[in-house]
Amino acid sequence: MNNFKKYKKGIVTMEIQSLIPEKFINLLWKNGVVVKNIQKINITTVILQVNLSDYGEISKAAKRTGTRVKIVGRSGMSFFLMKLKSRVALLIGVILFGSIIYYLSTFVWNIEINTENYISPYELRNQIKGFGVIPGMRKKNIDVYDIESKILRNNDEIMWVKARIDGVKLKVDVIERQSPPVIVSDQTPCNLIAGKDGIVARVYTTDGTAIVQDGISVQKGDILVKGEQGKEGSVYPVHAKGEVIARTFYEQIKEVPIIKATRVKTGNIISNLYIKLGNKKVYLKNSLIPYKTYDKIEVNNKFVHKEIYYEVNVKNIPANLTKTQDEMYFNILRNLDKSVKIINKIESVKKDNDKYSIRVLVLAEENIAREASIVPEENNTTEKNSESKKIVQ
Amino acid sequence: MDNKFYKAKEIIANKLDLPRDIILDLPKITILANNEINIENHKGVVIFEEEQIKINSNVGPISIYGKNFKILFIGGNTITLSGIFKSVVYESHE
Repeated sequence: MNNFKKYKKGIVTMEIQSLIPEKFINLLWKNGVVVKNIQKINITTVILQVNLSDYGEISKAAKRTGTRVKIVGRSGMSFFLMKLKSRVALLIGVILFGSIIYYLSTFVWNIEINTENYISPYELRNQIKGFGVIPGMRKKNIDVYDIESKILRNNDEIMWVKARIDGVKLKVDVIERQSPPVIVSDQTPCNLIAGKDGIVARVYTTDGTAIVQDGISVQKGDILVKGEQGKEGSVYPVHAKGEVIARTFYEQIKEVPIIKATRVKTGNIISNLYIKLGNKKVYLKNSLIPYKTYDKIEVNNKFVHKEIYYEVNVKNIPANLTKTQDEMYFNILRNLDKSVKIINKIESVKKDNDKYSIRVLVLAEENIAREASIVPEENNTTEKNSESKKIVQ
Repeated sequence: MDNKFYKAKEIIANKLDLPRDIILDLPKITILANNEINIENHKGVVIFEEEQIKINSNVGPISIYGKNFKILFIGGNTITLSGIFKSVVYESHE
């Protein structure tokens, strides 16, 4: 009986049967037994909860008052431990599982490498392997800062590297060094030629000699700035550079009929239904068409075919000149580069028999200079060319 | 004799402003709404029935009428009851 004293955290629910249960409860109380949740079932029966450690006192009191005690339920840590005692293997399994997981988590099982554009993760993985860091190592044997500095030392193209242990992963992030772009300086001698027809408005050159002046009209392919510099007699070829701003013209002509007949649906609809048997049409619904002009549309489903008649009014609509002009103007603008500056817009309308001929002209200013290699001239400039070749070499 | 001693105790408690429930061993009854009652310094359960609970104390038995009674806790000198109460009655000796 004293055996129960050591179980401090067990709670027993018991059913008590006696003639006067109050007496039993009072006796327990006087003996210093803490009783909880006393509930009366009937005159002689009471359910109550006591600590397991008080069981000895209870059985004594029960004997003295002639009470029958029946244990209904058990709960608490003590009973749980008692149950566990009979399942030692399970307990060992749980502990073993936990400890194995913990043990395995002290290793690095995976190396994750994030690189940018040019360095391949494979390359870095091999390097890291070369440092003696492989999956399956103990975490405490890995010095991430050492790995970082080694990677930095071995790769010139790496600007910054971060190696960290994240769970069972070794994460390596790499930022590559971005070398400034090499500026290609093109020094081969060339001319500037006109890319479009136009009238020269302004000429700026930084290299080369301008051979056109303001107000001269040029055609596509004409040389604007010659790739030469120096005084007469001691001329040397250069890579011509500069801007030639010229006035250019964009024109569009369109012919529009003065009156255009258009068909407008009135919204009235009649539909007929029929089934096709061989070549014959068997109408399910057939009605006369009261419309003067109509559009007929046939809808072919699997079995039931349908004819839909839309009533149509034919209207003569006069051409909208300003609208077409605007359309043409925007058509021209759409094809132009953003650097082109529009100066003026000229619209003119000519009336033919039954047509308008609309003309839209856009006056613009833009740089028409294009680079073109110097074409060797046949006769007297051969010497010069050989000279220039020498310089190039 | 006993009565005299009790009276002396009461006077002392009054004069010295001491808590009377401790000095005189009086029951301290705390009622929470109509469903929980807590009695300190009780002297045991006399009757525990479906519609009545009688608890002994120094000022005579205290009867609680109601239903669904449950003794949540009994131990030391505290008893806590729950249930739906109708009335609490002091049934003193006189």
